[in-house]
Amino acid sequence: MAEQKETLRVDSLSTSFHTERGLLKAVDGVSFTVGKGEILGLVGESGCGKSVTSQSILRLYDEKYTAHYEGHIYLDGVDLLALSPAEMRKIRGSRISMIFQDALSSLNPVFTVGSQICEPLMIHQGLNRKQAMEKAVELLRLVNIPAPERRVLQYPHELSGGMRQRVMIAIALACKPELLIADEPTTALDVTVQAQIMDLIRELNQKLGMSVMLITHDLGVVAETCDRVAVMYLGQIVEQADKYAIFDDPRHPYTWGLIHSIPQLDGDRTKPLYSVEGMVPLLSQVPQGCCRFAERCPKATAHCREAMPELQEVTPGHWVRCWMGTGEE
Amino acid sequence: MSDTKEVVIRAENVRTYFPVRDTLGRVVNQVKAVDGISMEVHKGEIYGLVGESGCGKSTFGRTLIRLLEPTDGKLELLGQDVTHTSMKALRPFRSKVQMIFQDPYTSLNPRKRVGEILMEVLQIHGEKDRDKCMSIAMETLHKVGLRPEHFYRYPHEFSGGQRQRVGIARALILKPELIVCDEPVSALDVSIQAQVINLLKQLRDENDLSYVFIAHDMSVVRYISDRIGVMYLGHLVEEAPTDELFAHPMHPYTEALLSAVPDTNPHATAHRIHLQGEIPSPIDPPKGCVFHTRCPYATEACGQIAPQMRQVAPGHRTACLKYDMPEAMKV
Amino acid sequence: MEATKANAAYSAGAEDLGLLRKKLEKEQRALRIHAFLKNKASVVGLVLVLLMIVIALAAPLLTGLSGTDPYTNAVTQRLQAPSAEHWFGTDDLGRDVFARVIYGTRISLFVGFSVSVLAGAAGLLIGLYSCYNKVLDAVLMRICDGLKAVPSTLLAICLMAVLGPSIRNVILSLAVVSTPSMARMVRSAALSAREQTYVEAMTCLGATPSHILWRHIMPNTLSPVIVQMTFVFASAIITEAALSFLGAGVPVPEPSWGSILSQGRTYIYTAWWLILYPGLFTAVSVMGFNLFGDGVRDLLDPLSH
Repeated sequence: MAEQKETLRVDSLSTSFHTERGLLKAVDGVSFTVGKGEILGLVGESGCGKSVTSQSILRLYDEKYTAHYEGHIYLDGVDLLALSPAEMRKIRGSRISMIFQDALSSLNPVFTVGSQICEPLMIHQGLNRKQAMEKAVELLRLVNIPAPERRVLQYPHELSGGMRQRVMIAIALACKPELLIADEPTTALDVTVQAQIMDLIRELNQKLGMSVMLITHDLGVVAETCDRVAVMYLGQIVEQADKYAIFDDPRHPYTWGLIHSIPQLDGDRTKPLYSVEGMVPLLSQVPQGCCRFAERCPKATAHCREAMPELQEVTPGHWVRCWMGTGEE
Repeated sequence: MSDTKEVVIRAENVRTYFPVRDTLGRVVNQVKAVDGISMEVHKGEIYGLVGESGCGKSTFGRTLIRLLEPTDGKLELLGQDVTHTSMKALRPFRSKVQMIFQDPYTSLNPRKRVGEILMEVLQIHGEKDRDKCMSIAMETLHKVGLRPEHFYRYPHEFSGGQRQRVGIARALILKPELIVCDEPVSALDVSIQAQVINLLKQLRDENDLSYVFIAHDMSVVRYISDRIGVMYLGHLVEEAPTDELFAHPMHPYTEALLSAVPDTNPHATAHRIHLQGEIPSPIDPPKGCVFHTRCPYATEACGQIAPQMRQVAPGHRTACLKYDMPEAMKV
Repeated sequence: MEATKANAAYSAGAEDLGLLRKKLEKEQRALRIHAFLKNKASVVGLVLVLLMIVIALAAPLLTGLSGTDPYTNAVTQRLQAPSAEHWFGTDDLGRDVFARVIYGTRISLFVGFSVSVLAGAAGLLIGLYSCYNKVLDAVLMRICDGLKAVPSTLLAICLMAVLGPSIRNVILSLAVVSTPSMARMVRSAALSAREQTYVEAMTCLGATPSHILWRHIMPNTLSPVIVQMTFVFASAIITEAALSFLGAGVPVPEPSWGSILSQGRTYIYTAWWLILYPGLFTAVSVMGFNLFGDGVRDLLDPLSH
């Protein structure tokens, strides 16, 4: 019964990479769900593992030499990590789609925008060229590109950054996926264009009932667009809740620190910004056997440095990985 | 308020155009990156310059410190006209105006140690005593929150935020009066951004510096700036003290820009002003008001008459026909 | 990242700083040497290069051991297979191939090395100045294009014909032949270095263009130059062989690997020792220089640590 309410369920996912310095765990026991029609925001700074998580869901890494997955990823009850490469290919682009940060490098410069939208239609749905092109025009209209019949014949470099990102979204939507993974889709865009794209994603989420997993470091985008938020630090989820709980009542000191490091639009301009002490350590130097955030945490106790806290539900739907976050403060 | 304050830099109708050449090298067109901007920066003030890509803010920042030569207009640095001064004659000014760059990964020479980078700056300006150079460099490193052993490290051994601190140290070491900061925190993580922003503010307070702070992140600009100038397609469309700008944006572009900024308050409802169309090319900007092709309030007059900057409140000016020539808009 | 003993060190005076610096430099030098030694390929390269140099220097000793010399003709003993008396056999004039190969080491190494250093220096100068000045760029690059249009061996032959036969002229001709591609490479490395933000930062800080060119742009072009120099070394030896074949190389009777090789071409099926030994020495020294060159380039590049 739970499967019908969830599109994606990630269960203790770990992704490790074979490097010269040994096996590095970029994602360590991450669990979360994306409900049907829900927009989940995966937030963190560089090195937290959010991009690796999203690419692991689609198994985009080379599994022979580079990456090693553990755990389960259930799409409507089916474990993606247990599928064969051929079966996985059927999922990518049709049931789960992904859009990336830089639309210019994600689009092939030598093919027209139209033919790139046609590709997933022809591969997954077996349409012929003519049928696919008609659908492509429809899709461009869906993503609010004016004069789609003309645009469909243009090349990526002829379009602006915002339009290219819409084309990417059109390609991603071509086969009506159940889940759209958006990996920093607006980081490279101007703020007005960013607003348009995020509005579009919300509109499509409502219109098509499509679940979205939004990966970003921009808390403002998260506050405006997402339903639920998961905060990541050094490969682990440290807090997970609906967006009001996260912003109004952040329990994890890192979440609290992030929120308060950002200048608020109505904040006090005279006080120095709160800043989290120290820096994110290298993956190869991640502290083991203790809370990973302890060395930078203003509230850390001796206990925090000795044992790794588990993710616990402190209030219904609000999970925190912190010894102090259980409301004792 | 700031009328009696010393003017560090003054731009009068500055234009910076870049020639577009055909395959034979003949000039066929001009990219009007900066197209007639007049403004001034006062001592001890942080002037925020905002705008989206293609508005020319980076080009203007570079023109202000004469990394680029203005094609037209007048530029005054510390009271002296430097509009068309040769690069050689500008060298004494270089110690007075400095720049901090956006990308901490490419703004430092990867083959030189941090200490060498700093000492080199002093040596270029004639400081021969090596020990003195070293102690000044050390002092500057301390000012930006780095440690003595960082002196002998290479840039790649530092994180992005630390490299940016080195960039700030390099700009500070000659004790300048004005620093142009070109998107200094855009490439950094949020928690590090806060550290660097705090540092910049602190340094300004301690050394009575002035900044031109170029950025596209409105919440950061709001936090750090005393006054803000909004740019669009090479023009300054509005300028006001920070609180005034956010409370009463007058120019339609400023309104749209502010409405697009994502708020970290999940309870706030976004009242977006959607702009039609795309940013036009600076090679062929629209006639009349450059913003009229996308402005929700545009009239026919806006496509014919280019508005001038008009004062609409103390310290607050904007370039829009609504305030410049309201009678023209009623036609 | 590392020590927290930092804060104590902060109140140190200039003296302690000097000590700190020496300690850090020692550490970093040790790290680099360690990195170099860890790279087995570069160590192999270094060993081979040293081996060749030793052979070149100890040539008289080695020929003393074999009891032969490179010049004595003994037509009755021509084209003899390797034996106890002639370790590498004899060539078509009865000369001992072993002695010729050993002495040839001197000449070939000298030619190869000089050509690569000359071409490297000339290429560096031409490439850097082209990057500096547009007019100079147009002129210099057109000259380089012109030189490159002529097949290298042919160009070398023409130059030798004009200059006359001597080792010095061989070196000069081969250097002229190798310089254009070196210059082009330096120019492109310099152009991309020039676009870097730190160059703009230096202008902003008041550095003169010439300071930037030599202190910032040049060090960034050294890496490809060094690698290219090892290739030039190899091709110099081989082109010299072609020149010798046509009689335009190192003047007879001086032995060079190239001249022995080219002599041997006529006898390849009957006197394989004329090809094998000089060929082996050529291959080994070329490989050694290449590997060593790669190692040196990594050593110079602080980013690879």
